[in-house]
Amino acid sequence: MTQEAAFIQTIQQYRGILYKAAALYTDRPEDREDLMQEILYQLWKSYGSFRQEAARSTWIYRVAMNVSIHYLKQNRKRPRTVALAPELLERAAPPDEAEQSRWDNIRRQIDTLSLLERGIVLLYLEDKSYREIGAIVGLSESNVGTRMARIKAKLKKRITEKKQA
Amino acid sequence: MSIEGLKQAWDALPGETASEALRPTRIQNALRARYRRGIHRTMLLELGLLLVYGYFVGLSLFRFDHLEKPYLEILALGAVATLGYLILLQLIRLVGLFRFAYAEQSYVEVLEGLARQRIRHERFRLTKLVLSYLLLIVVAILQVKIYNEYDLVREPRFWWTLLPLSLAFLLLVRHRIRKYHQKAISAAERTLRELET
Repeated sequence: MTQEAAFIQTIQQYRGILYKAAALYTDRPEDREDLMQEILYQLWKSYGSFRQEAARSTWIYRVAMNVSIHYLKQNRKRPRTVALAPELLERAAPPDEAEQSRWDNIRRQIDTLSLLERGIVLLYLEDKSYREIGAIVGLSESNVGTRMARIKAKLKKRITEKKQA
Repeated sequence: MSIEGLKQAWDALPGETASEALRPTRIQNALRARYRRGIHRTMLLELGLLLVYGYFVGLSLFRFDHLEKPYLEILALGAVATLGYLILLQLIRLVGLFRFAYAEQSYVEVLEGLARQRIRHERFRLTKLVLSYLLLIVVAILQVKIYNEYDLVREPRFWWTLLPLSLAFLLLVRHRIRKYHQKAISAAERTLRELET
């Protein structure tokens, strides 16, 4: 199997997760697609140096999340989009209205969180244990627990404020 | 929405939307083209300015003997040093844009790196702006001396024009640019504080 074929096979298993990660950090569908491509590109670039001793999912999450925050910070300085030749890239179908509204709803909650908290929540929503979250994010297990408690309290406070309003 | 509600909404989302045709080689080609164009656009103005400055400072050095006065020679040497410093700052920024290890750093390390980069970049930006303004004045003085044999430094009208201009520039930097600069730095410092606690 060629390196490219092996890479595609690996990515096929985690594509859904990559898409969700990209969607969590962007507002517009075209930005989401842009970011998704960027994550794939960076994964492809680092695929050769990827060491098998690290869990594959850890590597993928790490690259996806790192690229996302980098994209978010740098995106203002770069032109938002540059038209790509259609033969270079086939565009994915945009999400339907119902899906878009579900995303908007989730993003409204997530937007109140900092980038660090957003990363932790993403992994929590993906059913990762505190230990795994710590390994990907670069924090100790107990620190993740503390931060997760703060995030829950923050979200709860927001609901209370909304109800009062 | 509580975290449990968020989890339910998350699990209900479809995970498959990306096109089957997104092959890595295609993505690689497309993104390479995009990065090249993006960097060209953002850096074009600053690189162009440096080139223009480089041209005029080079001319001043080429005709160094026409400057005659020691203070004008010192100004020319100062312009060379300033230009060299501006080029160095630009190079540091370029290296910062390219040097980024996505797979080898943790999320926290990347957040910290980006926050520090932001603070550095904001400080450099203010320095670059002030130095560029000073360089513009020095280049004007040197060029007028070399090509018109006229010493602007000894011309009172030049100073009467320059002083209000400089004052306006200082006010602009202080009230407009510095405000944005402080805001960006505070946001980055907040991130750093959050990472420490």
